[in-house]
Amino acid sequence: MAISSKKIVLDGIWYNNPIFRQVLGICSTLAVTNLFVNTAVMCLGLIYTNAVSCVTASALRSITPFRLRIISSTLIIAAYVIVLHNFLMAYLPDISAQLGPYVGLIITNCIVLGRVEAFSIQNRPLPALIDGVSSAVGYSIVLLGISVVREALGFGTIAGLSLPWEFTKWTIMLMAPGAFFMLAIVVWIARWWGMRREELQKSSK
Amino acid sequence: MNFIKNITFIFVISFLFAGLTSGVNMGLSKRIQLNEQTRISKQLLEVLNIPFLPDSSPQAIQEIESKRVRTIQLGKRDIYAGISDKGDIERFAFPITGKGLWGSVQGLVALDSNLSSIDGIIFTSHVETPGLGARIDEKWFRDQFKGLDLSRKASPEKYVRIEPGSKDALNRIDSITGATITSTSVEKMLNKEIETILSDRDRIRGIDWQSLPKK
Repeated sequence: MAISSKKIVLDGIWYNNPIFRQVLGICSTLAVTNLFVNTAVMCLGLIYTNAVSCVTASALRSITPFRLRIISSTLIIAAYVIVLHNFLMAYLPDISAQLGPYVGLIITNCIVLGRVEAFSIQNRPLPALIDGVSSAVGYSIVLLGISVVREALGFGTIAGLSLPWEFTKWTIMLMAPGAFFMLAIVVWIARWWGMRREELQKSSK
Repeated sequence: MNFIKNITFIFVISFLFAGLTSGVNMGLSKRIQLNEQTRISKQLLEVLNIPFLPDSSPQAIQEIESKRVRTIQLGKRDIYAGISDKGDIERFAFPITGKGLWGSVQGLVALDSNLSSIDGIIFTSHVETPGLGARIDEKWFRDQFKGLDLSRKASPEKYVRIEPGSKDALNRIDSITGATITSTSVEKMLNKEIETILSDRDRIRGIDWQSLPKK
């Protein structure tokens, strides 16, 4: 099973984007996207977790008994997330406090288990690494986009720097409903774009 | 044979990853503890209204704390006094604990130097629902307690009421929508703790704070 790296990357970032194609990992999308910096830390956390979990699961794939693959994947993911959580608590205590339970919840983030189960377990470590990173990057791009809009409208800042003009802040953008609206708009635009392309391809045939 | 292979696999992999996590934990636990201590010290300074820079180093926080805070054990718990630069007592802070919706809620309540009104409240640890009960951490909720007069009561058995209702009601604090149990829990613990504090009023006033060793 040789899949080209380019296809894996494009799949992860666009065609099979975890957020707007698979609609996975929504709970963290809603929860942590009201500040750019928090979102960035969360995204880096997910990229790290996804990368190391995918590589480990892939490296162990030939000795993992088929029936035990989910339980061992969960164990691997949990261990890496606990390591990450410890590092955040030690070196970025404020951000760790703000992210609260969501770092720990990376363990149950469907994207990680989804990639491990759908890809790593059947592929060699290098493609698994590329797949893990590109999926997580696909997730991060969407989340960072949402967080920029939410922070700009909600706080009037971007990454903590105030915007040059004054306006009434949209408090709703800081709360979960704001994330719902933003997420729906992103999914809508991405799907509309994708569908339009498919139709163009069909009609040109 | 499969059975044995499976068990061995899980055993080995659990052992490896448990080793990894505990190794990292051991390596970082000192630093994490220091961060946790600093966080609580910052909250103590905040509730005592002692200024500090939000991004001060742990050492700087400790220095301010040792200069401006005195502590003594009264009964089973510590009480804190905030001292001005000149050495006068500005306010007192008392630890409060109670039961929330999911687990114990701990915090600090600050009273003015006469022990007659609330000067601030802060929650140091709780496991309330994020977005609902956890909103007790938000400034708008905590700010409502500032200046609450303890010489009058909200009702015969309560100093403070946390409930929805009219703004004019005596010593009433707006509760948090969707977090009724957390709101009621905070009300309960606060009333109980204030009762205890006020019953110790004379003892607290009698303490010679200036002569206490620095923290």
